[in-house]
Amino acid sequence: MKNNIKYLRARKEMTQEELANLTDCTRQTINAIEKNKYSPSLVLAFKIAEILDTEIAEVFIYKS
Amino acid sequence: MVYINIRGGYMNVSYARSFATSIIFGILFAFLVIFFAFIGPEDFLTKKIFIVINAVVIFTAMLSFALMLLLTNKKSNVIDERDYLIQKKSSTIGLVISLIYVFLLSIILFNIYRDEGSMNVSWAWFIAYSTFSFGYFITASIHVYFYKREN
Repeated sequence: MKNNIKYLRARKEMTQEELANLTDCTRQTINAIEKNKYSPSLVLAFKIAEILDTEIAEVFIYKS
Repeated sequence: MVYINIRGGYMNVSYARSFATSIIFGILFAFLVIFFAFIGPEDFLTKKIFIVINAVVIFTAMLSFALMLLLTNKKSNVIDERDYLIQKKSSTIGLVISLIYVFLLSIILFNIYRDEGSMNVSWAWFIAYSTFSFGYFITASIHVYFYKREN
């Protein structure tokens, strides 16, 4: 599942570590999500969207 | 959060612990195999010094492991859903590989000693301690592999 986290994070001038701290996960998890190597749980996905001040559908792009 | 910079990369505490565990128990397992191969099961129980040496090495490994866990145990540690997922996968695979190890070792010994009708009791000691150290080593190594794969 692709995502726009890196772009949205840069828009808010936020580092991976800052986003990780705010979403109660590790920087490596945020890094893995951005590189499409890990698909977060629904809860984490919603947390990320909330911190990035946007809708979850804008953060994560699902293509069947 | 605890980040440990090793070789320019960054490890979280779960990754770092697994890395250290794989080294500690890898060395212990290698020592047990080499020592037992060098001494041989027949001579292993004849001299108490061999058992003492092994006891000291095993104690050192366990102490190192405990110290490592203690030193990395901080309130600021974060273990998240991805860490738990990787732990679950590596524990499952590590268990299966450990079972295969015990099975293969037992079958090999059975085939070697089948005609003799009995087997030196030292082998039981070796199976016990090598399985213990191998289990920890392989699970931690798989854990490290899963982390490295994603980095």
